[in-house]
Amino acid sequence: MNLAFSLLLSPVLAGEFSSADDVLAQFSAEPSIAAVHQMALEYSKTDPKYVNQWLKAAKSAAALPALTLDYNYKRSLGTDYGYYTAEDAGNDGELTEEEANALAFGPFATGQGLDYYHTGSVKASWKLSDLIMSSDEIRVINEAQDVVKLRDKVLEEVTRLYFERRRLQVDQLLGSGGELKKRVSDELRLAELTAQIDAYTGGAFSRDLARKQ
Amino acid sequence: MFLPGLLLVSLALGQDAVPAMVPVGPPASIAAGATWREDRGTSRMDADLFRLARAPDGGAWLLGLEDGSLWRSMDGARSWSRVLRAPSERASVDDEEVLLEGEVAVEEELERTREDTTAEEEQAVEIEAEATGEDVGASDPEGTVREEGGDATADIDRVATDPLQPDEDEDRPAVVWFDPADAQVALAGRGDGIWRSVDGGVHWRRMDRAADAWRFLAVPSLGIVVAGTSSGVRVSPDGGERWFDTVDVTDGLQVDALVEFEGQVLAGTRAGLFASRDGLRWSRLPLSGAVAALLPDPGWVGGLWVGTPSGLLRSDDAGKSFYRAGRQVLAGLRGLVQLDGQGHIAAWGTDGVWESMDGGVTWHPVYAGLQDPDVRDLVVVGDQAVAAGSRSIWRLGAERDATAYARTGVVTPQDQALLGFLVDTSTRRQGLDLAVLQAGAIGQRALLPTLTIDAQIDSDGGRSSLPLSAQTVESRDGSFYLGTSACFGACAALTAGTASFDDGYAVYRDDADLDGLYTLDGRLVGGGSEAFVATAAAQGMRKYRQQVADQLAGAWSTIQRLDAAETAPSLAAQVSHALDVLEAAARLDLYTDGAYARSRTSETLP
Repeated sequence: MNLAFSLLLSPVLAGEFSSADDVLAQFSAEPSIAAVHQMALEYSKTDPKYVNQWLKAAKSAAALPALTLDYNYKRSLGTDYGYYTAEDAGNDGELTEEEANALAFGPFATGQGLDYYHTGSVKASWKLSDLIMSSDEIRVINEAQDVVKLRDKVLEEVTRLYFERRRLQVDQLLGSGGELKKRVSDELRLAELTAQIDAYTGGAFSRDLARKQ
Repeated sequence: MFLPGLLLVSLALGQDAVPAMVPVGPPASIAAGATWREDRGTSRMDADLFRLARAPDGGAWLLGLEDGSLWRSMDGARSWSRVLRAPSERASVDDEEVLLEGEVAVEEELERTREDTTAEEEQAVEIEAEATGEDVGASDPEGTVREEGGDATADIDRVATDPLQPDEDEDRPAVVWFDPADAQVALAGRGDGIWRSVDGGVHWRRMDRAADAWRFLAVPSLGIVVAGTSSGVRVSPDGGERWFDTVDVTDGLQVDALVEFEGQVLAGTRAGLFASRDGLRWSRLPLSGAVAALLPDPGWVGGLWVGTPSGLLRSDDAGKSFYRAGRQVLAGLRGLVQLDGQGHIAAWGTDGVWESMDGGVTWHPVYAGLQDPDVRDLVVVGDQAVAAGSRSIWRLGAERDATAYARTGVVTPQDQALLGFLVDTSTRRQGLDLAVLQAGAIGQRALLPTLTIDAQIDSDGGRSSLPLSAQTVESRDGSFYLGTSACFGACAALTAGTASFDDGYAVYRDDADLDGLYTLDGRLVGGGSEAFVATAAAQGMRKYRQQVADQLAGAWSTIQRLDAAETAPSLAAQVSHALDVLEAAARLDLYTDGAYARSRTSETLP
């Protein structure tokens, strides 16, 4: 539909513009390159603010202690038993062995006990060295390096696509129109570039175009 | 800004702030339209490059390598011949080979010179020396020097008759130096002592086995040569033939910088800056940190730049006080050199070569074409700079794009300041800013303990019955403990069970593992995974910073070229030109988080 509509538009004669600024002003309703950069940063989550948040979190985490709570409960029951043996009864030699055996008895409870223990502990531990620079912070810095490389790569590509698209638009605007085949080809290329920019911005570029137009 | 302020103060004080030797007016940037080109004459060397020196008459060049070997060039540092083997290698070499090595090198050089010398090379070689000197002996009435090692005057014959045993520190890099007053006299410091040549670096004799040397300095006014060693300062009264140890406060300190300044000799060490008026008695100046480089300011009486691991410092009062010269860190700085023009200086180190045109306040990189940012040494001859990278020699050549600077002839200092600001901004982004790694902080981590506060509550009770006596006993106990412990080191073995709270505190220390220690920007940052990750991150940052600088340079050059181009006749060409400028500006913005766009809407740099 859009393609068909675009093809109906006839190119503007170059004489209708007095300067390059006049030509570029025709696209003032489209998002600027700075805005597209911001869209790409948001979508790729490579905005410096994310790295700053990581760093801040890594630094503040060092102020919090490693907390260990410990509770133990122990309950123990015990019964002591005794025996009255034949040796105990006849150890002075006055009883016969038979008499002594008759007197022996047991086991019998001599003592019963119940013990219980409650132990609770709280341990807070700070790595003071992390207040200066924590291993998390160092790893975030290392990770930030990958993020900045990714960000540069994404924005380089977005910049290239944005200006290639704009040059194509200018060409369409100032060109003589040419054959239908070429115009269709240009329109398809324009749609392709728009889609590629959308891929880097999560569709925000097209949404912004639609809203402003 | 610094420079105008400096000039005003100069006028107010009536000082001769601009000596005749310093050109007046805005200097030309060495980076303008120039690019580094690699000379592959060092490809057959086995070790990394370390120090580069050029004879004062421009004839010979010397190169010291990481393994301690010495190389010599007679064609402007393009092709090299080895003149002295590494100490470790010499142990297994036939003695006669050592003696013949220099002669073979001379033959090679003469042959090469006859065949290959071009007009351009001759020009590079035939730059005349300016300095003159005198050979005056030094007296020692107060006995502040001592001569060490009975073989201090040992020559190569002596070496040849002794078994050539490798020295303890034999793998140390070699530093090389030419006497500014005599192009034939050269000195070299290695792990096996101080060596001297009297034929321009062809033949070498070991003069001092007692110490190595990291820096040399001739002090004509005192008639001495000073050597900065790994353990203080040594002095020679006869141009390097005999060496004496000074008994003073620099003992035990590695000296990384030496300079003659305001009638004094300054020695920059790993533990501060020292000064001496006679080379023998030294006193400490009010600067206690590590000093990597020193550079007197010829445009300001008492002006001195001091390169430190944390940035460039400046003194305007001959070393009585110091302040930070600029806001840039200049990570891994190794040296400073004066260029033509007031306040025009260059610095080099692990982050490449940087240039300042405003006395060190702002810096911009001299990046174009330099693929190896780890610059070990830099020699500037006129407007040509020759850098020793880690593996090869790099030459900064004037390779100007005729159209790029057609409008103004050169990039203006204002343009350079803006470019410097943009590069600074781009390399300070999160993930590229070396300063956030804080080598000192990482090192200090090892000094701080893990602090543990432990509170424990115990409650126990029980009941015991004795049926035979019909007795029942009940008991109830409680206790509360509060303890602290500080554990230094790895603390991996520390558990609550091992802690004793009887005394209310406990201190543990696990011995640090001395294996696998890492350094960052030349500072020990300890061992373990943090230090490893930090050093790896720093290495990655340096490489990418260089790439970013290259990208910025490309975009910047595009804008300069487009600005200088003629106005296009057709509207289509004008629009294309405008889009090219906008795209280059967008690329500058993407690397600087929009700083380029902001700078264009502001009259002064942020």
